[in-house]
Amino acid sequence: MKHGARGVSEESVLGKAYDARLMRWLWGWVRPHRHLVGLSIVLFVAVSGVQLVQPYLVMVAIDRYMLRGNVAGLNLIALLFLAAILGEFLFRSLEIYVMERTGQAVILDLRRALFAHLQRLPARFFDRNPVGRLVTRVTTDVESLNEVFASGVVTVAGDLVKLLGIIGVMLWLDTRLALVTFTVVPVMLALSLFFRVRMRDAYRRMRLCLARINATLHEALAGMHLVQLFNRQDRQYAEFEELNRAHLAADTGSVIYDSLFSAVIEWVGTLSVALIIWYGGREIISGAITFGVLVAFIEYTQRFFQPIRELSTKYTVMQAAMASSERLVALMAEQPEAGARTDLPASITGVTSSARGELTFENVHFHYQEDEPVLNGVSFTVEAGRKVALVGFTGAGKTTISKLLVRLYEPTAGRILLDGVDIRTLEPRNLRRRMGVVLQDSFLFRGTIAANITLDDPAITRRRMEEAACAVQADRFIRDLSGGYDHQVQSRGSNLSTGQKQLLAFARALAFDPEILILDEATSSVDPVTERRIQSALAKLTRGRTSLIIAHRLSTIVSADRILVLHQGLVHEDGTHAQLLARDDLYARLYRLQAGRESRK
Amino acid sequence: MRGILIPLMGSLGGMSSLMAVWFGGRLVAVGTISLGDFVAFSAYLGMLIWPTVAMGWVINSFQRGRVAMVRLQEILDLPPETDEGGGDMSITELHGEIEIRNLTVSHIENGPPALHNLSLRIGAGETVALVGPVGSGKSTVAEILPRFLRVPDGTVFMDGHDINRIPLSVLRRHLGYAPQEAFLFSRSLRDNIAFGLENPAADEVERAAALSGLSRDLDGFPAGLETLVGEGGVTLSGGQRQRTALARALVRGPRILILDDSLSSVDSETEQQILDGLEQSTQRRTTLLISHRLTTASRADRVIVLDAGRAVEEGTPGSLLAQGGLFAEMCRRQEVEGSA
Repeated sequence: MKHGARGVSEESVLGKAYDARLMRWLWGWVRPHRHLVGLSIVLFVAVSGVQLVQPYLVMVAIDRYMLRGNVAGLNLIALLFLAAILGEFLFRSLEIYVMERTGQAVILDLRRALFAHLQRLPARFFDRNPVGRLVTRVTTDVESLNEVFASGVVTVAGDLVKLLGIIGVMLWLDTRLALVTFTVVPVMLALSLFFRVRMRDAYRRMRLCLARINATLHEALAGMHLVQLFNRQDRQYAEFEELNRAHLAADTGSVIYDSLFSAVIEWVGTLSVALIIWYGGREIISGAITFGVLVAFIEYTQRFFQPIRELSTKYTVMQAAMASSERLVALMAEQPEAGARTDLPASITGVTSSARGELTFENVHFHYQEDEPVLNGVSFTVEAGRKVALVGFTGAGKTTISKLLVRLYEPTAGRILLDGVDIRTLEPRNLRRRMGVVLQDSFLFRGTIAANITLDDPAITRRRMEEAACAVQADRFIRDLSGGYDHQVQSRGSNLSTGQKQLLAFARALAFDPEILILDEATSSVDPVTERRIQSALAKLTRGRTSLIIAHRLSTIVSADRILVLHQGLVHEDGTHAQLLARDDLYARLYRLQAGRESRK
Repeated sequence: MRGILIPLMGSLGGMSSLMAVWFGGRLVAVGTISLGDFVAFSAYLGMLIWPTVAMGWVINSFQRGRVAMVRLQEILDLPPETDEGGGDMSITELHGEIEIRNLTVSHIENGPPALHNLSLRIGAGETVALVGPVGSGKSTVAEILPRFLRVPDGTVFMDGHDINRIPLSVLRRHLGYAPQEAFLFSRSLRDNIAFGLENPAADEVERAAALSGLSRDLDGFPAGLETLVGEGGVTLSGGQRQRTALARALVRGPRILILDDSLSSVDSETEQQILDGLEQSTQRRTTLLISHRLTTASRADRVIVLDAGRAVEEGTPGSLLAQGGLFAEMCRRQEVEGSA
């Protein structure tokens, strides 16, 4: 049992050990490998067979040879016994191997499917689900299903086969003695039921405590600088201590039941041996059974109790697996990102634009959370090849507009048209190919500079890549790096400056040569030289291309063909720099804000 | 490995039975021992198997335990951050005067210095803005004051005491630090704001929330200040998180308030309102403003411009603008929006 490996925010409360719906789901994944499962069942029957034959051989040895002084016969029995042992070893090894193979094969499929599914999920899903939790799904939860194969469901089925086999052999050897021996079974079942419920509850409490400890620890470590800064160490320790004590109590409870249960089962086993000796001994004296039968009975009862003792462990494995399945089912049920919608009219009648790259927002509404509208009916058109700057306060919805354009989200009402076509009717893949997005914080991958520009797209030749880098003047700093274009970028580009990352992102956008450029201008200040370089690169990038720029820099805004001022989810003003200044409204206020503050001081 | 070990254990038991039957059976057959002896012997042999096998497991888990112990020891052996006997226990109050003298410090040992021969003085009650490009060392200054980054003796002083002599708990009690990355705990907003208080009084928390411009948002939450944050509770916007973190810093009534770009996700107008509120509150405190918004920096009594770990300009915002140096250049380039 691997407690420690559970996720931090795990809802580690265990429920049922068997759920028909989840088992059907699980079977769906096992089905392709059912030949392996079948093989392991055959092997399990074989193992049970060679195991059950062993006490029988001892019986024969006693009755036919030992008591009759037949040494030669004993050699034969010994050989058969050896064969049974070798068979057991062989079948059991194979069985475990096949079982683990099945588990691994299923896990592989499941991980693949999960990852592929995650890649298709819409951005909204990732807003709701922290990365850590998703990682736990793909790793820990899947792993706990593996446990089912390694020591769970197949073994339980096999154990049942073995138990039935033992009962059958005992009844066949001597019905009356068998029935006397089985009188302990109801006692054992009652005890098992009694303990199972308590053990499960204790175990569940322990898991809950552990989950709380994990969560608290995670938070305390993540916020350690705050704990220290606010001198909260003592109280934080007291909180941790309380949870720790609760865990100890739960753990102790679990251990008490565990040890009591296994002692009680042991005791019942011994009781049954006593019964066999008491009743079987009388039957020997009366000649009803032989010595060998008695010895075989004792052996069989011992084998009978072994699987029962392990049942509680398997029960918890199954519980964990069911809980994991439940979460995986929920994850797989998440709706993937919408593809091309066919239920919508593709284009508006009357407006057939032959222009490449004309963008229209038609009364677009949007909210991330039900009661917090971000866009309240935004309408505007960007003619093909024009450069439009979006300005407004933080939270005005500028970034949201760029996300809607690439269909990371869909408008809650209204439409977005590209050359007169509703973008929801386009395959997201095709739509995104036509758009180049440069984010505020350009994301760089671990890999070479070249790979970061081309994103390993084979359609982009080395020459085109280098041309793009030259055009945005990124080549100067790239050539200064060790290895030039083959310089290794560290994770998230931590070895490059902000300005350099910006230039690389521009080169990337230019190399892909999109019809439409969406640019979220970086806000962090860079040195004047880099600043000038970025501005000239930007001019190059936007030339003749429909561009929507979420602008922060004055120079960018002033050079735009048009400026859209967003305020409270609406287009508040729309016009050129000169027009808007003349209007003397929000834009003029925004523009003068700085100057005003400065003169006040 | 599992695939061999488990069957091997089973076969070991079988082997012992085999030996008993083959050899013991012979002895019974020729009459050397009785059948009872044989049965008892077999049973004892069976009992012997399990402990033998278990020994292997025990040795195995011992080895794993030893590895774990070494790892734990590594953590336990790390020297804790203490006053190392250098704390001057007579220092119990600070007034908020800060002085840095010729400080050169780097984040990594022998690494490139984050601050270069930096000297500055901030008087008690003064509001000073630190500005400069990314990586110029602004946040490093903020890290030095709570001693998250250790400085050499004789370089940083508070009220004339060497910062390394001030007991950590005293030093930190007087600091209010609101970082840009506002980390909140999964508890109620009230508990988050009262994080640094021993016995929080309700009105203290409410005052701090009001001062941080959080009051309006509280009305929108299901349970006001008792609303849970994070998983199982509300998801706060970046600006709300930052304002909560600010309230957490303010509630302790700090003598030194460090705002490390701590209102970057709050829109300019709200930020200005909050700063107005802070200016008007009666509490006297030294304020260190680190901000990308130059409108914010311009509110300070004094601006210190850092570049590559050096203080390159210093003066009142007006004088710096007139001087036409880096600050003036940055202001000129600063966005219209004012939300860097």
